[in-house]
Amino acid sequence: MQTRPFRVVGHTADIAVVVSGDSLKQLLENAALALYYLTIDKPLVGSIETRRVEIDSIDDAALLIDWLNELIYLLFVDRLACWDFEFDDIGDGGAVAHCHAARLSPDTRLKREIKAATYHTNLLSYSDGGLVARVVFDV
Amino acid sequence: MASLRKVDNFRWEMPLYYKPGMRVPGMVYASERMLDSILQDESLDQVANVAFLPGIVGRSMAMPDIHWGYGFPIGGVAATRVSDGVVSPGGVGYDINCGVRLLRTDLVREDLHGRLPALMERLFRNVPSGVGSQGRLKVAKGDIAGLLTEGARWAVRHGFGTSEDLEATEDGGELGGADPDAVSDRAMMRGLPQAGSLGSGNHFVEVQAITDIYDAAAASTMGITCVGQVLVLIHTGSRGLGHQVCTDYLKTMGRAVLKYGIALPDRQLACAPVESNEGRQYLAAMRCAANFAWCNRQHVAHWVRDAFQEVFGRSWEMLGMQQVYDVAHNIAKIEMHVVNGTAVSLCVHRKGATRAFPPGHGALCARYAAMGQPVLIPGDMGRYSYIAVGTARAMDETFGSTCHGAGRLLSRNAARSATRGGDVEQELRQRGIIVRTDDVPALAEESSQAYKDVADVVNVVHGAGLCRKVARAEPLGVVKG
Repeated sequence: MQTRPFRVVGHTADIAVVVSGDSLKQLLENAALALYYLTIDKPLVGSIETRRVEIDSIDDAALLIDWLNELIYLLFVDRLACWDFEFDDIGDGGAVAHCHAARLSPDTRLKREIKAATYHTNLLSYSDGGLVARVVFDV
Repeated sequence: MASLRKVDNFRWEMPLYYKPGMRVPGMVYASERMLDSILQDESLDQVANVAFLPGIVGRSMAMPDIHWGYGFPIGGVAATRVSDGVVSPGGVGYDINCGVRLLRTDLVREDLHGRLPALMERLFRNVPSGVGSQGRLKVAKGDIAGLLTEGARWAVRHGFGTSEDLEATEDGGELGGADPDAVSDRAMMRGLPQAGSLGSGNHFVEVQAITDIYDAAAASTMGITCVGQVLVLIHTGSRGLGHQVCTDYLKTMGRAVLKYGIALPDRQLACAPVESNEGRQYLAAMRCAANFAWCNRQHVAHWVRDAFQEVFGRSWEMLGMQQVYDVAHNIAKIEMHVVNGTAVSLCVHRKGATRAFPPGHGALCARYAAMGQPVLIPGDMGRYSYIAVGTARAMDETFGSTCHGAGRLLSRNAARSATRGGDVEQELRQRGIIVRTDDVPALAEESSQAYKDVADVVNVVHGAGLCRKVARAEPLGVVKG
């Protein structure tokens, strides 16, 4: 059985996940998976479209949070859930990605409202095996 | 890490050496028993981190409903000098002006006999609720600026409520200095379709009955006269508009921290000088979100009154459904306070904390001038809520602030592991409490065992003199977001 590249960890008020990835690109993809795991409980079915997302952050830790907040906006406002990503450029706090997304049907209920992904200290750490991030979502 | 110093049965001082870099000491309001649970998470470290903010005065404070947040703890209060201090969006949170509004009625518990199920059904239908709920209110493009600058008054101008409602609302339901140009198009897109909705999570409309009156004179001033009297408590905020304003400005503040060379122990505390362009822009946008929230609660209250009218066949005026008060518990305000004997203009951050101004304060309406500000403290949906009143002690000690609710005890995952939403619904029903929700499994996250006993919280702030208990009410029916 394939294991998820993230795990949900305890947080008193909100929801926290620990996400890992071999590279920054994979970390962003896996963080997106965690977001959709927390919010969508049905297979994605719907019209497909592609959105270009460009993020300019102060560093890679902020990039991860800004990336998730971009996906949260797409999900809760445009009702788009992205399932595949092509990155033109990534690193030094910036990323340009083409996000292939399914538009949720009007009757698709989301499991919970996520207000935002939040910043905190020691958000992102690097190791020989890649990157690990602990993300707290405000719900 | 150094330990806290017990000041008395309700106060624990966090000394400067608790964490090197603190500019002021901390103060935690809690009983000894509550402190055990507070020590279980990272919230005390967050109290220490807040003390690093430039321009902070007095103490970094935590109310007894403190729990682990992000940046500030929930239940945190911090005041910074306007002249050389900072404003931090993390000190307000994402749900800007999340708050509670209380309506009284002339009804008593017995009047609901046989009608409560129909009433709860009507409330559930009248007030849009749930994840991403869209509001009943359609805001024309030309009206957006008016809504964001006038807040509750905009709603009253459009026939939703009365001028008496505005008098019984913190700041009249309208924060000055709101500038719609400071609000991004994204925030507008995210929030405006949700105008006039409850949302999800811990938001609710609760029908309650008074169980105890501790201060008959203050209760009477609020229109609360007997045990069994029926009240309605509404808890919601600025929905997606506030969430996006916070998201937008945290990004701005992340850059401002570098620009102004501010050293912080936690990124979520990102901030800018109050009087900088970034600080002023954030406050202008935050005030728009605060006004949006007051407009939202004004509409929800209108639809609550409609539901009572439909079920009881009498006008809401005939039912005596006047507003007792409306308070914000996630907000930053510019207020005058006395610091070391001198009146100083401060930016008071209340994140999960309620304003509690004393008798005679100029911000209070005539009705409450001699009594002090009503303070509304909701508990969980299985126990009770409190009504209290502001004190001079709070003004002296906490910049006129007190607690905001019960405070979480269990994480959402732990709560779901401990019980099932269906069981919570059943247990409440057996006790005569009707719950209406679109999301029964999520009830587990809001069960009584997920929260502190709000009585413990209120007994601390009452004992510490930060507010004074007036009455207690228990739930009869709840619409959960």
